[in-house]
Order: sequence, then C-alpha cells, then structure tokens
Amino acid sequence: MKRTGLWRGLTSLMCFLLALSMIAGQALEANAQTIDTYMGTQSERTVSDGALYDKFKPSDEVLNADGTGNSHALIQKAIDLNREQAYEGSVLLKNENNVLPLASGANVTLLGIRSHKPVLGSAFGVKVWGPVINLEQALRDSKTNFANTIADSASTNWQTGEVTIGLTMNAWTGDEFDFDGAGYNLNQTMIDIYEKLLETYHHEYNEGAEERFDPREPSVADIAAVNANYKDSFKQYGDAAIVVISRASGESHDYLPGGVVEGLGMDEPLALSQNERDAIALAKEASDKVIVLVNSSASVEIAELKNDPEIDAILWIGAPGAYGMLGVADILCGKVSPSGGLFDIFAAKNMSAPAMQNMGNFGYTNAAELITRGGGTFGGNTGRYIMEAEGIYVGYRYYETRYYDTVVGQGNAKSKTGAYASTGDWNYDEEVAYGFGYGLSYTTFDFAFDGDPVFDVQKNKNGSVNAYATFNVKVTNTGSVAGKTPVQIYGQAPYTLGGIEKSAIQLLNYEKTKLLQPGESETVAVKVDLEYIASYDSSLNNGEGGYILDPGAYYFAVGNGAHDALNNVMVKQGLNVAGNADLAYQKDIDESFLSRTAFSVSKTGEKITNQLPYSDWNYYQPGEVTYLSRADWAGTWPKTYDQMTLTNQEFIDLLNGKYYTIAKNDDTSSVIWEEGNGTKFYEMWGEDYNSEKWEELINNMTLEEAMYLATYGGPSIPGASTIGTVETYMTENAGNGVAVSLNASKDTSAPWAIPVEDPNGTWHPEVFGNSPLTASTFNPDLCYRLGAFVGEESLFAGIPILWGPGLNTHRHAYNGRNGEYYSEDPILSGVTAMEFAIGALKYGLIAAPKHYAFNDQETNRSGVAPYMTEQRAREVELRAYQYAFEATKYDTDSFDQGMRGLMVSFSKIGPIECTASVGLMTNILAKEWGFRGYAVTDIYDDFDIYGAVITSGTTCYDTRGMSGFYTNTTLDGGRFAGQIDGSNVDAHVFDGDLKAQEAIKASVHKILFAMSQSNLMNRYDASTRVEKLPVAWRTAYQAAEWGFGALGVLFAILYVVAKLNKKKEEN
Amino acid sequence: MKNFRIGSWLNLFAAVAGIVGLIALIVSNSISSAYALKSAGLVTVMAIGGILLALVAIWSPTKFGNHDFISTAAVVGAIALFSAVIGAMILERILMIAGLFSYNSQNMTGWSVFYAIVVCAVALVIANVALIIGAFTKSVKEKA
Repeated sequence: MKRTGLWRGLTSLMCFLLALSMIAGQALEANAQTIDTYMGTQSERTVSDGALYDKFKPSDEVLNADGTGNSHALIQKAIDLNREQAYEGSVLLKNENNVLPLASGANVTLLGIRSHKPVLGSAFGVKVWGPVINLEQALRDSKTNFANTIADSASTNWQTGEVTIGLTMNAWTGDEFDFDGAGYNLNQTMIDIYEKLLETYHHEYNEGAEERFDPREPSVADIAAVNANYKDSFKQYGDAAIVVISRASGESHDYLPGGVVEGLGMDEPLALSQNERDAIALAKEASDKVIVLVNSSASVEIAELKNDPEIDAILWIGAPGAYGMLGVADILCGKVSPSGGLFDIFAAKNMSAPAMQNMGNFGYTNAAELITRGGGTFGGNTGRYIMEAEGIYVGYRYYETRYYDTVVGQGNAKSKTGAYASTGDWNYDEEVAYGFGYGLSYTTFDFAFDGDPVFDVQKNKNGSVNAYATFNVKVTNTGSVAGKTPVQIYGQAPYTLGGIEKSAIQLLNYEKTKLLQPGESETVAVKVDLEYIASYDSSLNNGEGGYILDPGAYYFAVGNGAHDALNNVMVKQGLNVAGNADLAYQKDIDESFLSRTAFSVSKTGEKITNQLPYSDWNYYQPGEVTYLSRADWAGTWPKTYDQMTLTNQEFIDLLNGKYYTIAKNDDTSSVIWEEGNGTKFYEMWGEDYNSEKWEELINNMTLEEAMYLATYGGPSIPGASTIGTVETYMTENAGNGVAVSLNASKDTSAPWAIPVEDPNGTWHPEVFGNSPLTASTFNPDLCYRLGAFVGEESLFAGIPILWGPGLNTHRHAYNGRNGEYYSEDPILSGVTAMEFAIGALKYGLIAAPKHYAFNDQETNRSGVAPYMTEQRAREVELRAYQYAFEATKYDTDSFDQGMRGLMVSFSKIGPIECTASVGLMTNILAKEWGFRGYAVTDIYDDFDIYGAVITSGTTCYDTRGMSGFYTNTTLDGGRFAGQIDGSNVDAHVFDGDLKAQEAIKASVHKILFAMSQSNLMNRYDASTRVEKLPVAWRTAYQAAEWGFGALGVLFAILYVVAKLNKKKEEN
Repeated sequence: MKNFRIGSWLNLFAAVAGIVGLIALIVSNSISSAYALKSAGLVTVMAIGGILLALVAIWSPTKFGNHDFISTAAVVGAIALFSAVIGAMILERILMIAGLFSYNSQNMTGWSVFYAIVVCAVALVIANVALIIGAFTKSVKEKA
C-alpha cells in the first residue's frame, strides 16, 4: 500500500513539475531575444556558407589590424564623442567679470547634493548604462575608476511606492581609461558629507520626472548634522564654489503644474526649492566666485540667478551622459570655449507659457457613458484629451511674437493677461530669463553678411518649387581665445492683424563655424529653404487648405538666439529697440519672385491639402474652443478646457475606434501572391525603391507571410521562406546609443563581433547625453558624427534598426520626456535628427525617430487625444519630421535621400489614433514627404483596431516579446484578440479585403526596402539561415522537461506494477 | 463522508480551490475585452474539467478503494488541466504583465486583470499541491 501511494504521489508531482517546466519553456522561448539582450546570452545565430560582411563595416579606428573588433578603441571613441557633445552643447548663460574659465589647480568647493550625484541620463527611456565619469572625477582626476562609478537607477514598486536603487550593471571588470580632467583640488569635506547624505536623500545618475516633485536637496541643518565644522573647509577651497541644480527627465511621468511636495519653498517643480537656494547661499559664503551648473533637460526657472549679482556664472549642461562631465570640465577650466545655444527658451515662470493652461489630466465629462473602446493590449486612455489652445505659439514663438507686438503696440500684447513674472503689464524682460538659441563664449565674435543672400528659385517638372536663400555670414573671432559659434538664421514673414497666425521670428537654419583662432575669420554659408517660412492656411481655396507665402516684406536676420535676431529685424524696420540693422536683410516677395501658393505642392509633386481637419475640436463641435491669436493676446488667452463634453456622434464613433471595416467578399485576384519566380531578398541590395524587382520579390510571398511581416515589427522580425529571409532580432532602443551590450550582440558571426570573454564585453553603448544637449550644439556635423558612431555601435550590437532618436517638439517644459526630444523648435529638432539619421545610415543603421507625432506629454500618453489646428500640427510638430524625412540636404541629382525608419505615437491626432490616421501616415508622410521605410507603432499599441492600422500606412506593430513565429506566436493566437467590433484576428482575416491586401503589399515593400539598405544585408546570401544555440536557460528547461517527463513515466509504471502486484497478492 | 481520510479531504479542498480559480478566471476575462483570453472557452472548459476530475478522485476510492487507477488518472488529469489553465492565463497576458511592471504601470485596467490572474493562479497552484499531497495519502478507510 505504501508503495502504490508513493509512486502515485510522485507521478502526480512529476506531472505538475513537467507542466511548470513547459510553461517556463514557452515563456522563455517567446521572449528569447529580450532575455538575450538583458542577460548577455545568445540563443540563436544567423549563419551562412558564403563570405559575407562586405557591405558595411566599422571604421578602421575601432578595428584591429586583422579586422576584429577593438573594444577599447570603441569605448575610447565613445568617451571622446560624448565629451565633445557636452562641451559643444553646454550653454554658458552668464559669466560676470569673466569668472570663467577657472584655471587648473584651483581649490574648489562643490555644493548641492547633485554635485555628488548629478543627473546623467533618464530613469526610463534614454538611460545611461555602465561605468561613468562623474563630475568630481572630471574636475579632479586623470584616470577613470569605472569600477566605483557604475550608473544607477531607481525602481519603484508601483503598488507600494517603495523605491529601490540598483546598478545598471553588476560590476565593471574591463579596462580603465586615461583622461585629462580640469585639474582642480576639491573640498573633500563636502564630498564626504554628501556621500553620507545620499543614505537619506537617495539620488541616482538616472532619474525621471515626478508628478509630485521633491528635488531632495539636503538642508543646511542636514549638512551640519553630518559635520558641524564643514564651513571650516571653505577657506582652503575658496577659489570658487560650484553649485549643481538638477531636474531629471524620463519616460512615463510628467512634471505637473503645482506638483511639488509641500513645505519645500517652491510652488512649481522647475522652480528652485529653499534648500537649493540655501546651497547657493552657502556657495556665497564659501567663495566670492559662485558658479551654478544647471543639470537639466528642462527649462529650470533661473531668472533669480540671472538677476543675482553675487552669482557670477551659470552654465547649462543638460544631462551629459556617461562621460560628458569631461566636456563640462573642459569648459570650466578653459580648455574649450563654450559654443552652445539654448534648445528651449528659459522663461522666468514656466506657467507663463500658454500651453501650460492645458497640460495634465483631462477627461471628457461624459466619457464613462460614451467611450466604449478599451484601448487594446497596452490599455489606452480613450477618454482623455488635451486642448492645445495655444495654437502655433509654442515656446519662443509665443514670447518673441508677443514681445514684438508689445513694441509695435498691437493685439493687446501689453495686457496683464498671461503675465506671470511681470510686475506690471506683460514685459518680455521680466517674463524671460534666457532666450532660445542664446549662448555666451569666452571670446567674442563679429558677424557680418558677406554680400547679399543668394536666392535660387527653380520650378520642377513635378510642379513643386525649390526656393533657397543662401546667407553668407562672415564671422570673425574678435576676442583673445579660440572658439566656435553657431550661425543662426531667422526669418519673419509679413503679418496682417487678424490674418493667418505667424510667429514674429522663427529659426530657418543654422551652421557652426570651425574653431576660429583669435583674429581669424570664416565665411559660413547657411542655406535656407524658403518652404519653412511659408504658413499653412486651412481655409485656402475654399477650405481645401495649403501653404501660402503672403506677398510683402520678408526679413531675415542672424543673431545670438531668436531674441537677438528679432531685435535686429526690428531695428531694420525702424523700431526703437537695441539691435543691429546690418545683421538683418529685407526681401520683398511677390508673385513675380515666388507664387503665393508655390509651396502648396510638396517636393514629391503632391498637392498639399488639409489632411488633419479632425485635429481641430471645432471641426466636430464648432465654436467650443478658442485658439490663441496675436490679433488679441488678452481676448484669446487660452482658458483651461477641463470640462469638454462630447455631443457629435461621428466624433464619438471615431473615439471608439470605428475607422475601418474589414471587407469579406472583395475580388482580390488582382493582388498576386505565391508567384514562385525565384527572386530572393539577398538580391535586393542596392535596388531602387521604384525598381520592378521589388514587385517580383513580394509576389513570391504568401499572404500569410506578408501579414506576419506587416504585423510583427520587432525586436524580432519574422522571416519569409519564399523570399529567403530568416527571423532576426533587428530593432532596439534608443537615441543615446544601441541598447545591447557588446557581448550580447545579435550578430556574433560578424568578424568584428566582440567575444564574450573580452574584458570590455559587458560595455553597454547607451552612454550619450540627452537630446537637448545634442540640439544645443547647433552643430550639424557633430550630430552627423554622433549618428555615425551609433551606427558603428549597431554593427557591434547586430541591430540594423534603432527605435530612436526622439523627435517630438517640446510643447512646454513639463513634459517629463523632454530629455528624449531635442527642442521646442522644429527646425533645430529636424536638422539634428536628420543629421543623426543620415550619419547612422553610413553604417547601415536605420534610425527610426519617435513618436510620430504629438506625444506632447507622458500623462495619459497611451491614447490621449490632442486637439489643435492643422496649421499648428504642420508648422510646429510635423515640420520637425518633414525636415528630417525629406533630408533635402543629402539629395543628389540621381538619388533622393531620406530617412528609412519611424515609430508612431501612442497618442491620437484629434479623435483618431496616429497609427490609423491615413492623413498622417499616408497622405502627409508618404505622399507629401516621400517617406519610404519602416513605420512601426509604439509597443503593443492599437492591437484592437488591426484593420485600421494595417491599412493606414503604418507598416507594422512593435511586438516586443512575440518571437518564435510560426511556432507559439501566430496570427491565430491571442495577441490580437478583442477587436473593437468583437471579432478576432486570424491569418485569413484579409482574404476578402482588397484594400488591406494592397496595403500589406505596400507595407512589406517599405519594410524590405528599409532592410535592404541596412547593415542586415551584411548577413544575407542564398544560404543564410538561423541556428538555435544551447544557452543555459534553454538547456535548463529542456532538461527539466525531459527529466520530469521521464521520471513521471517511470513512477507511473512503478505505480501500475505495484498496484497489479497488490491485486495479485489480494487475489 | 465519514469514511473519508485525508486524501479525499485534500481532493475536496482542491476542487474548492479550483472553483475559486475558475471564478477568478471568469472575472479576469470579463474586466476588459482587450485582455480577454482568445481561448477563453477552452480554458474555462479545462478548469471545469479539472474540478470534475478532482471530484472523480474523491468518488472513485469509495467504490474501488485507495489508490485505484481511476482516481490516480483523475488526479494526474486534474493537475494537468489546472496547470494548462495557469499556463494559458500567464502566457497570453505576459506582455501585459511585463508592461505593468515597467513602462505601463498606469494601466489600471491591466492591474485589475493582473490581480484576478494572481488569484486564479494561486488558487490553482494550491489545488495542485493539495492533489499531489493527497495522492500520497489514503482517501478512504480500508475495509476490514
């Protein structure tokens, strides 16, 4: 009896353990590539019989003589480039009495807990990984001690709120690196105090925004509690005091108006807290030279520091990345003269931006009754919205235009309405601390137009017009040290009061000088596309819409930022402000020079018309929203639209996702599948997008294969045997480097792949500073080289498509994710992204900027509906993408360059998901701008409107974690269950839908074309295939399955035998 | 029931835990259509099957004696079915669960589904543990 019980019990136990092993195995295989990325394992490999890797290879400087990878050289190159990014991007805002530079050998006291633990990256999103060089090391040392400075990050238990801090890698056991720091002697007493205080005031190198913010700066009493005699150290280290003020940026969370912990002496999260002010007061006690480093990707409210005569210098340093503090040190000690310009305007009070009237969490009053859509796998905020009632007046466009109107005396610009920092009427000087594009240098520059600009207007055969103005600006270094400077060209279009809205000044393009020695000159040519001074008029041609160039006087100016340029224009116009008329140029434009509607035909020859009428709330419910107009600043100042009620049924239907009905009975015989002509993907290298060979190739595929490719957009992208492609891990984040460690490469067959045993194998390439720092360099060449380096990283990581960089414009300073986006200005953003992406393409990396478009806040980002005018959509947010995607700068007579990747936003545009907006994805993106490439949704977004997404122009979904195609992940699985109409997706869902099949073909064409231009082609020939490899987790679960299975059978047999024996005995 | 020994009580407990799991399963499927299992019908049938087999494992020994073939097969079958339900619950929602603990923590609907999943999975694991322990033990008093 005992034995039958024993064997039967063990059989049951083995059955359970076998089941658990199988569940674990399925979970592991489904997420194999993601596990590989995070654990540094390799579970599969692409192999071929032929000699490949002849299309793209890293530069010689990161390779050994035999062509293998040199990890040390690669890391050194990253250090050098991040350093350059920081010293070119940091912006000197104030430098009274030339307190900076501060010579090497100075005795310096660092104050503020952030001097000991500055923000280097984001808590989530563009995190900085691995060993870093912190501020103290950069200021004091000459050699890294990576092992002691691993970037850390906080994890929050979402249910309990408990915060735990973890390192981004366990330990660094690789190489150390020499560097030349600033050579200061630092006050160790204060360093020790802050180290102790970190036990109470936790901080990490990677942090994010918080809805209820506390900068966690220790009080003076806290400092004294650690060491009562700390002030004694000031005397020895009193050559200068450097205070660090930090604000972090990250995915998922925003700063919110009034969102601060009580009792901190601050009313807004980007204002200074009392303890931060007290740290600055301590600095004044420590030294008569006080320097403030603003360590933030957001516009911190620093007007009080600007106006404080006891603060000598302010240097904005962004979030400088793993090694960027070296660049900061270079500026502080004078090895390099600063040359950055501000990425955003720094308002005295951020709440003074009109966009801030409508920022946060807003829901329709009747959403609970009317909104039935759940939002798909991600879980959307289908009942949430934001009213972008500020119109086109985003960032500096608002402040500068209102300033202009105060001087001209129009539009009630001086009204107190909207005045937050002014003591009386609205006053620019009180409302703004530092303007967009502004920055100081250690030297001085003289600017002068070198002759009149050269205008070049040509009508193209396709009906479009190319119209450029090239401004030749002679820049002379008139100071005593070498330096660089941006050359920024701004423009002003003629405005008629009450006419179409126009910004009084806007950036049109820029370049940067070379390093100019004292007395040296350089003439810099800045080529301006006049397309970007045109205005979008939705009412043009009886409501058809299009761009217009009103006839009249156009002004162009060079300036140290937008405000300086505007003043130059105003002086040219005879207005009484401080400026230089010689730095402005007037061009009268009429029909004889350029047609008023010349830019209503895009560069591709597409007639431009309204594509996003539904973006405007008033389209469905007229007259309910007033957009800000310079015709009456006071009367149209945005109110807070927090009580919007849905009444229009069409509007409600769209919010519920009713965009597309899948046809069942179309005649689809015109769409060819399974042709069997033998064309294979590896033959497509170098094929033009319009080559007929693409049709041949895609005609070979089965509809199901094409559906897989047009559905599963990464990280693993499915293979298609009919065209000879294999499932490959192809995509990863992010804008600050490829998120795959060297020893977790997805392409270990590459000759330069870093072997697992390499001491630097755990190095993780996400090391660069946040995006505003890149933008602030105002250096297209540097941005190109940054992209090119990330392209090189991609060859080591084996990733041909990058989900990044971020390309949304900064609607306001409170967007928690501003650190991942470049700027409030679309041209600065567009140029930076274009250079990065074209640089990346040099090494076959497809950069896919995100999030197209209108990801204007993190709050409710999944499915929030932003409402705005189409003019605003096109002239602000979309212009950045347009500039980048058209990449006109890189076009040649025989080749139309362009970007090849894109990630679509979680958000809607008006009531329609961006992923499903035909206007956004096809008519604007593909037809107007000529985009040909991979356009993926954000993660798991809009699974519940499959038909609408597939047919919009979006090419595929981000399906992270769904690998193992044709095995445990199929279109018939549960991933796309729960469509809004109650149906389920399967491999035959489009059998009777002609439009969907044609859309799938178009998507597959774009995806394969992008892949064919990427470094993926290094791996392709006729014999390319995938090998599964024995990794520990796979071996473990398979051994468990076999072991428990075998034991289960054994115990079952023993049970049966024992039971039969017992019966025999009983008989 | 007065002839029940610990094995039957454990099997009964497993059936009750299975019912709790079944209710949680149904709840998790009804919170949001976006998170309903595509195989909800099959999974529900499997859960009911597991419960019925646990009941069979109680009944069978009263007729055929301790450790009989039918109750043994029923216990193993119940364990397999309950495990399959657990697997389906987790594997089909693994993306949602991963999101909740990273980039999608504000998905309140997802958290509600997650809690239901946890209740279901815990109940069925408890049921399986009870069935396993019960399999080692006697279910009814031996006849003299």
